Amino acid sequence: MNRTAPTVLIAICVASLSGCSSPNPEKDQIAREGAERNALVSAAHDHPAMKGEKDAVGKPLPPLPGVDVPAPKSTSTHEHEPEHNHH
Amino acid sequence: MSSDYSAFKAMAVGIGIIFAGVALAPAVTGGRFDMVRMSKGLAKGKNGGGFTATPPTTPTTPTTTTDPPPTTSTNSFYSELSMVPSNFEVSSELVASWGSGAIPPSASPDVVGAFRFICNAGQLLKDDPIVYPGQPGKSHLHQFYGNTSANAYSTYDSLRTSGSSTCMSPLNRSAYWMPAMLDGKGSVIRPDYVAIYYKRRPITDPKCSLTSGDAKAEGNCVPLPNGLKFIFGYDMLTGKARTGSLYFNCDGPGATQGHYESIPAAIATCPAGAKIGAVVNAPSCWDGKNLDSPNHRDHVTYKEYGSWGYAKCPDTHPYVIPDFTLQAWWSIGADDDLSQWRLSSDEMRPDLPHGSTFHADWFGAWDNTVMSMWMDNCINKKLNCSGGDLGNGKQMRMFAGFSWTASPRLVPVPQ
Repeated sequence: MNRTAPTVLIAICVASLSGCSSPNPEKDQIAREGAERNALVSAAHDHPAMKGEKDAVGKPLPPLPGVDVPAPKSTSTHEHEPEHNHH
Repeated sequence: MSSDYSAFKAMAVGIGIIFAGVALAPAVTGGRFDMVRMSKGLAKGKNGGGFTATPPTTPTTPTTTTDPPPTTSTNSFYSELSMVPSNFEVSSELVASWGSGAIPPSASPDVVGAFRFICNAGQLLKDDPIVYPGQPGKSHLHQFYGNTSANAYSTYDSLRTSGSSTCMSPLNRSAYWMPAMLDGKGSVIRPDYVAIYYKRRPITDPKCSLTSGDAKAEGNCVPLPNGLKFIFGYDMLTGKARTGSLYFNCDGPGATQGHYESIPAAIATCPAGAKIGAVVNAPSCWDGKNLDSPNHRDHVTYKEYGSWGYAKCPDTHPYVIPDFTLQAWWSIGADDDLSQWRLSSDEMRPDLPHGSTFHADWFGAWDNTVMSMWMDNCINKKLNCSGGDLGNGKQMRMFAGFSWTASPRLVPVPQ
């Protein structure tokens, strides 16, 4: 942890109006994130499409390049020029 | 007294502008929407509602496409491209939420409204429409999510008018991508799913306006501008990443959840049967003028907690757009050797632990009508929306074939 992280955690604590008195705000934050993610996964499992409602099911995906079909041929013979790579 | 009156007058003017904006705005699902989104209803290339179309003011990288230059709309508040309506019936991709039209609960005690959904992994390409537009095969291998047609030639207009979406529905034709995860043995490991969140304070929150009189205002809250795109996470040029903006995690049986700086740090407590996750948070402060920038980062930035003690956008980037979080999750199999897992971009920094070059790209292309739905309801009514619930009794359809486990999970690295 660097010296700004405690400030960030305190600010998150204040902003979320919870956990301010917790002795371990970082652990609480991680637990909240996990709960939020699990809630999303649970909700997605309950999507009408997952429950068999046909009207809630959209069209299938087309073949995905690089996955279902070969990716288009690269026009470069090497991945990148180091001096141009700024990504 | 005079300073109090000036503050009151400023607040009254601000409130007056809000009421005027609501009165003039076209009705959208009966909810309020950000008064700055006056471009609703504008067809491409048309002006109206006090807007003036001007040539793009941002420096753009030349592309090899023959599309006409996009029309930029400017209003009194910020610049964006003209909206491009979906080329299909929007209502055909909407269903009654949860089968009943239920409205989600309030997000309180949280101070932000939230809109969340799940995506599957999409195409694998050595393309990057932001960094290498019109130059297929130029970049390291990317794992795409969202628009299935996204590639080196993608523009806002092309994303808006083509492709399906791995993020539930083509109502969201945005494209998101990140370096592909490689197993070190010649294969790409595709994530099982990606969780995406958009969060922001409601427009009525005094902290959402610099003229509200709230001394701790974050900035001026706005929707996602049409045509915005940016990179975030590890920066190859500086060798740095915004502290706290990205990390790895572990979840499942026997896992210890945490914020880990690298893949090796995460896998130490991430056994087979669990999932390893890569989480990245995007900047949410925008300069209001540029939809891109030469390094594809400078037009956006993160809120800062400084000596003033609260999060706010800097004066250079006073517009608050919804916070965007992307989480990609991979299953760990019994035969996997996680010590060999690395991101495709890690080869540029072999001196750093695997995963250190984690970064992501965001290229927005929502249907504006649908974006208004989740902005008006999930965000501005501070609701807790999940699973593509738009907060107004409607929910996005899920594409046929969605799977909770990646299929295929391993794919030969495309040559």
